[in-house]
Amino acid sequence: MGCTATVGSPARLRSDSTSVAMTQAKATRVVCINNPHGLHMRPITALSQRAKEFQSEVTITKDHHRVNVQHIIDMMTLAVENGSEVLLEAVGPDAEAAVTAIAEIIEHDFSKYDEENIVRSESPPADAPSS
Amino acid sequence: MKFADFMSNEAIIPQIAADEKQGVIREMVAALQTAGRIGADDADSIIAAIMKREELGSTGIGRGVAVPHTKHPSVGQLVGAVGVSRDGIDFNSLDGEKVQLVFLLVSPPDRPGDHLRALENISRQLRDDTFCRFLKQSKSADDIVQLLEEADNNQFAT
Repeated sequence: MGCTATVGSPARLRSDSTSVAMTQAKATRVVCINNPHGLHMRPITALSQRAKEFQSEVTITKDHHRVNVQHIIDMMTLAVENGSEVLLEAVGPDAEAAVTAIAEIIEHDFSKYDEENIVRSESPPADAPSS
Repeated sequence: MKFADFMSNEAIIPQIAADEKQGVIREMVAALQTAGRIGADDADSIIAAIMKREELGSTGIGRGVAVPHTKHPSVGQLVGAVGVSRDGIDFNSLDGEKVQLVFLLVSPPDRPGDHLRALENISRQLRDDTFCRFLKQSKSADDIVQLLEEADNNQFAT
């Protein structure tokens, strides 16, 4: 995926992104931000809202800077750019489900939150690629 | 990135006149236009783009703060305006609270990193209660200019 082009090898990334460790209701996963716009406000909002659906506390860490995924303003301080790896951690009764849900958005649903070409998309072709 | 890198001192509004979202955005884009940071012919398109972004989800992110923004091909570099509302604005914020502090950003489509770093700077300062309180209490553009300079000099958030 996009991360493999900018961060590490495909093999290492695959290994990281599937290494969920469950120890007493704690789950972790390394995921890569694979979006030209990085972790901008719309996906941050989506991640925050998703995290609130779980009892576990979910945090995201980049460069030793860890914040609660529920807190939008704190998430914005990370300024996560395309190709960056981040660590997701959840602690609580539904930790694994929480980490999986957050990772799912980052790994598979990210592009639908893109907001670029809003101006250009007003004129045809409307189905032009967003990158 | 610091406020001085993208905030225009001529686009600071210490008392926002409008009391609803679109009016506020119009007021702040007009301030950027007056400041010469965006072209007169581009203002309406920028306002429309920002409003379209708001339709995707409010940028009222809680704690009385909104960050309306868009990427727009008419700007060569990131430009920003800041406004303060005494009475608060209904911004359909995520926490349902009215907005008193508005940071409006217009950035070039091909510079996503600058946009992220501007958000990082704004949010880092907003985490500081003293910064937020002083900004809400500002009575003049000069007060806000001074406050942003102090923030740039790391006198608030670390």
